Amino acid sequence: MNKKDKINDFVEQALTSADSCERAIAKPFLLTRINARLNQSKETIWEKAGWFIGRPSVAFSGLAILILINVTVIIYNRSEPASVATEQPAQENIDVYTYTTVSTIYDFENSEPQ
Amino acid sequence: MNQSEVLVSQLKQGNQSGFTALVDLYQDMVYNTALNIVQNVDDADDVAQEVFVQVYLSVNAFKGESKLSTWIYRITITKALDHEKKKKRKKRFGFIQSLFSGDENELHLPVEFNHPGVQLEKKERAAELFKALKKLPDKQRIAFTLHKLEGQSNQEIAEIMNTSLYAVESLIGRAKRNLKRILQNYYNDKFSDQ
Repeated sequence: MNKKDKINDFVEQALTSADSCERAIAKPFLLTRINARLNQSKETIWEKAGWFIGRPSVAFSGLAILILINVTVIIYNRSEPASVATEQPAQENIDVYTYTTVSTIYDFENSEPQ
Repeated sequence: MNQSEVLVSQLKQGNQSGFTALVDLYQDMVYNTALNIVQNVDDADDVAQEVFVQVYLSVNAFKGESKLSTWIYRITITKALDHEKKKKRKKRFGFIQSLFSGDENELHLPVEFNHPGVQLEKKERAAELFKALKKLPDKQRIAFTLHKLEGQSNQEIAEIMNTSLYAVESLIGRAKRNLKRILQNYYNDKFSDQ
């Protein structure tokens, strides 16, 4: 038998090798594994949310956003003038304000006579 | 009402014994079809589980326009092809990773597949046939597999693949020609090496 015939013979054998092939049988306890999978797929919305938040990428992104918000708030508050603290009281209240704040002898001596 | 219609109506009512009966009836069909496509026993088991979960979850979408077995065949083929694509993607990613890490152990070399249903004296040739099958386009491979390994008629294959009878005949014919060419090249290389 020459090479070409041998090759053709092998090709024919390969093509017919699956002719009387029997059906493969599924592994035992397939139903148990399917039921386990079905139970897994029946997660509640909270379990799904927990699983989503628990993912490292989501958790770290969330943490980074939280830190960023905090830093932004701190920087914003520092750069803004303390407008409430430096606000001048109205003119009619100044005297009252002065009396109430006088608390030392020095303050009494230097206070303007009425 | 035939058996599959009873099973479907039981399943639609959420009857667990109906689902058990359905798995019992179709598990080997699903597993064998998946095995012929993915060519790995563990992957085929995974696909079989996915198929029955899908059947359970989407039974209400089954209108009964086709046979139950046809519908299950369609799900199996889709799931098996998806599984195969996912695995190929993973392999490609693993290969790129191994290039950077220099770890040769991460390279997953293809393992020769031996179908458990093939007779012992034909195992070697059958392994070569399955290897050649992997090189066929998806449609040709599915048509050939259903015809040769599942023993389905051309009419049934046409229903499963949602195509015409003529298209199925053409696909099977082209699959055979391509397989012959692939195997000839393979044996040519094999004998020239010796």
